[in-house]
Amino acid sequence: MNRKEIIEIVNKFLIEDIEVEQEALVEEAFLKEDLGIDSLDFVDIVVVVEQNFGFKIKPEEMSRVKTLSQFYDYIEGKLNAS
Amino acid sequence: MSEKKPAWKGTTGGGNLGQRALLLFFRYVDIRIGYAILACIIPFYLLFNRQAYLGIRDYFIRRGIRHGLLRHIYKNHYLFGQMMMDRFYIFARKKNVFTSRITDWEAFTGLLNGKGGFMITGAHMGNFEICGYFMQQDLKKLHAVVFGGESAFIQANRARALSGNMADLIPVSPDMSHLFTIKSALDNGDIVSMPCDRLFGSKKSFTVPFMGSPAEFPVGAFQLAAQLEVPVVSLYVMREPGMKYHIICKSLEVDRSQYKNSRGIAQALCEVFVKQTEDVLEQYPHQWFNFYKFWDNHTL
Repeated sequence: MNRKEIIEIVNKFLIEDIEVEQEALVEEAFLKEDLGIDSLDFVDIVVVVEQNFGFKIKPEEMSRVKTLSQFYDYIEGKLNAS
Repeated sequence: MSEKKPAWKGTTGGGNLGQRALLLFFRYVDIRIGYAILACIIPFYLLFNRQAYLGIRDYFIRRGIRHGLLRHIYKNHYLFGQMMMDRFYIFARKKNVFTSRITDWEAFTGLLNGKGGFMITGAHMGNFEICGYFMQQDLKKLHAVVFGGESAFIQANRARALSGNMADLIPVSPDMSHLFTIKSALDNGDIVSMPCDRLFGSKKSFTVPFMGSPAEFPVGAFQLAAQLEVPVVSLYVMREPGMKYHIICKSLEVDRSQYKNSRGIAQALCEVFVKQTEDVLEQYPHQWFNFYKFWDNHTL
């Protein structure tokens, strides 16, 4: 899976499930401050990543992810490593 | 969905010393003597704990009760004290001396005998915490989500009392790491129980009509159930005259396919939960134990 496909899946989920505005989805956006994603939403993200990308997010790894770009990088890195 | 500051402290009253004294007292003294002392103490609580008095007064007024309010508030406080004593009595004696009858037990056993994990929702009414002693089973581990600010003494006693029942505690932590513990428990096919009427941890809430006025209910349990696609059962453990409890189970179901995302499902689950809670309170109107103005954002 390439980065473009990862972005499509993640953005679709953020718009449909977390109800983030499409215009807010820029790579430098901070997940908490700009997109309003809180810890409950992170559980949702964990579930969606498991279902769509086939790996489990560890909470300690996720705590290092601050921006949307870092989140795409994180998924890409995990997929490339497997 | 909105955000709100909690109007409650969330800790068991009495402090460490008082709680230890109560535990020691019940090791040697029959619980009925405790009830008699309690009946004499309540007027002082009504006089000096104004927040609790006003909170429960507000509750009864919303129920349409305007005459004999003091008698109703007294009964509410007495029942709360009685149930607190029941818990301490079980802690102290390490045995269950109460009898119970159960309504709709199948809603619970059906899930218990299934493969997957499920959630139990509850409220601060009746004696939710005591259900761990009634529902002894060895099929699934029960994780009770509790407010992390309780004293170490109370938490240690709870953990000790529950440890023989395939049960443990998940304290709510400020960094929200308990959410991942809950997820992993449900992934393992365990049971997670959560109170669903007070905001703790996340401040996100749904505004739902409750007894005729809008009230705030925390998103947490409902959102988790929706996200993780786990079934939910509501559980109410209500005090009856004598040494009896009535355990009421209600399956918390909505047609999940009708909603476009997990938030819609969570809101619908919350609305069903609130309706179920209203129905139980119709039957047991004195057993509502949120001792603050629950509807404080909304005028009467």
